[in-house]
Amino acid sequence: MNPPSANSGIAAEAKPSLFDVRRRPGDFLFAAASFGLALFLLMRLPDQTRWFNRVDLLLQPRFWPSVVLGTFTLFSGLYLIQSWRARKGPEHLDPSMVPIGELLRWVRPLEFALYFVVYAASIPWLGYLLSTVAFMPLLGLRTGIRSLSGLGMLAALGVGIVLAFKTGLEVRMPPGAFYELFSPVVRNFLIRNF
Amino acid sequence: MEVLAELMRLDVALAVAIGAIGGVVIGAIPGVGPAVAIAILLPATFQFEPLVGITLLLGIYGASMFGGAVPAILINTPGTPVNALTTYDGYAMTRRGEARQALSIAYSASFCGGVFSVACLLALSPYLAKVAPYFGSRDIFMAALLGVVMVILAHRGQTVAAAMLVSFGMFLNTVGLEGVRFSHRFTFGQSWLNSGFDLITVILGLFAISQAFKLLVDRERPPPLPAMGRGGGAGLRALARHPRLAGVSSAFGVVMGIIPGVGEFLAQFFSYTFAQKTSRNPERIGRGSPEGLIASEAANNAVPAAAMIPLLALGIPGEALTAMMLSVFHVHGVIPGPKLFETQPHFLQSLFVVLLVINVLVLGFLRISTRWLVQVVRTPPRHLGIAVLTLSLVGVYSLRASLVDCAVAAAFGMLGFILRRLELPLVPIVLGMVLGRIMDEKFRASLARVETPLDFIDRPVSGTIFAIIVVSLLAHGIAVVREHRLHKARAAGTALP
Repeated sequence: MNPPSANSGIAAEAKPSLFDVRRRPGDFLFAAASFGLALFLLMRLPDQTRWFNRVDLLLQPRFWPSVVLGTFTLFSGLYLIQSWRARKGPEHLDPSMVPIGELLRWVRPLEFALYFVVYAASIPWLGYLLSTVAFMPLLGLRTGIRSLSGLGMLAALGVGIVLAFKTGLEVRMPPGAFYELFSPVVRNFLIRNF
Repeated sequence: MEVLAELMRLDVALAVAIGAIGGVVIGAIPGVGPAVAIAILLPATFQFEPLVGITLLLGIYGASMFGGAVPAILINTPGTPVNALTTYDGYAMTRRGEARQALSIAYSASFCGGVFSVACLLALSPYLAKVAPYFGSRDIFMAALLGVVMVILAHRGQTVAAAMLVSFGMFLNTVGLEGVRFSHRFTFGQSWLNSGFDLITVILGLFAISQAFKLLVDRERPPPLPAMGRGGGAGLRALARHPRLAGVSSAFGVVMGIIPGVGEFLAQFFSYTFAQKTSRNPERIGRGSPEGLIASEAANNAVPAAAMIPLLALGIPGEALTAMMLSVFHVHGVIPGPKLFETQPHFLQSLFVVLLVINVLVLGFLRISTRWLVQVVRTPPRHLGIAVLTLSLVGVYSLRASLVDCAVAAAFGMLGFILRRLELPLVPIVLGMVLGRIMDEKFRASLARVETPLDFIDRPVSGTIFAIIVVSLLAHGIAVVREHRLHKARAAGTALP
């Protein structure tokens, strides 16, 4: 369960309760989307799972997904009804069915998700060290960090992360194509450590 | 002696120290928390020996709740979600200029809960070793079902949403090539879906990446630190004044930790209610009372060790963090379950002693480091967001060096972000994935011995678990009806007795 937001003015005067539930803006839309997904998956059950002749029902590969999707559809349907009925209740913070402002907030991290994938894609080319040392300050710049000390600290943190995980803990990271530019000795060193 | 020799090993000692100290620091930073840290570190621990890897993660798990009390008390923001109740009494004490006293009480209560829980684990393990082998497929299936029911019921006020998310998690687990007839399920012709959704990728997306997105988008400024005041020795005095409360709260933590799917929130709820009912000044609970602080912190910290009981004895994780640890066990070929107590008793004993050492080490560390630790609380969220996103890549990419995994993790990060905005829980999805897999496997394994549905509950263990499920559902039903009536009466403006 979600604890109450500690920054939302609990302070000392409020009565403690772990179970305060609020319906945030977009709740109905999320419920509708979940129910839609559940129905879509349920409809695709026959062509996305196989049925084998002369095999007991309970041993069919389709059996368990049917149970799970049936439950998913049932509860997402109930959640949709609950959200619809609660639209005008006191616990609903925004009764509108499609709160545009909230939807825009939902898609805001898409930009960061894209950077994350680009960062991952750059590793086989630039290597882990260079990608990380570039990624952290660039993301810092994007999020409004302008001071040289702040950006330098992020770059240093990037070096620290690479040293800790790749050099120290030897986690598996692909070597960068960029390392091919160096002599075999340096290349091996770079591949092993960075 | 063998256990002591294990603990004296440099790698184990280092894992204990790094896990304990790292856990405190991670817990003290609002917005990181143990789930994020464990999700990130998980793949890195795969190359360690099981004892080293598990010790490191256990250290973070147990110690983070100690650390989580620091921002809860100082700036009214829980370091980990389970420290939310600590804000009520802790922050109120800080506003009265008693921050150091509040911290001292929180540390002592946490230590009490932690040690009590490990003592219970040590005392129970011989019995577990005797009982665990009696658990067959049907019993484990029922225990996993109990976990599913409990994780839903534990989200009081959000049970329907929790049930929906658990079923979604269970669905995610069915995607890919199934292991009996090797047919595809919900792959939509996409080869990258053949192996299904990787648990660690989903966990990293839901917990770590979504948190990074939140930190990057919200850009909140941390509030200034308050004056610390005096009273560093208040913790022991408060515990000496309220030994019964500390003991009962710790016991609630142990019991709730053992029941799969329940965990810290209900433990705190019961212990806090107990504190309110037994206090000489119940009106002060929630307004800066040491008793409230003892109740919430002792209960919290008793859970991690107790949560290891269903994991080790039955292979059933009770919450997201033990679900993550389950994958470390599996990677190392140490399969938690009834046979573990027979085959690896020394490993288990070492693990129990490690838990005890972690608690002692954390208390010592907190006693000397609080003045520096409070500065960690003020780490700027943007910096944290960038660090968490960068570290998340280590976790995802080091699994298979797959760009698809990164995209999937980012997609689950988006889903996690939306769920956080909606104040809906993330844990049911993860537990649905883990418990769904166990239920699917054990259900099929049971079928050889089952002719009618009643055969599932004709064994003493499975029958007892089924009875617990029925009683829990009935109790919940009664509570819902009662709340509904209360709600209607309030709406009608009538005074209730």
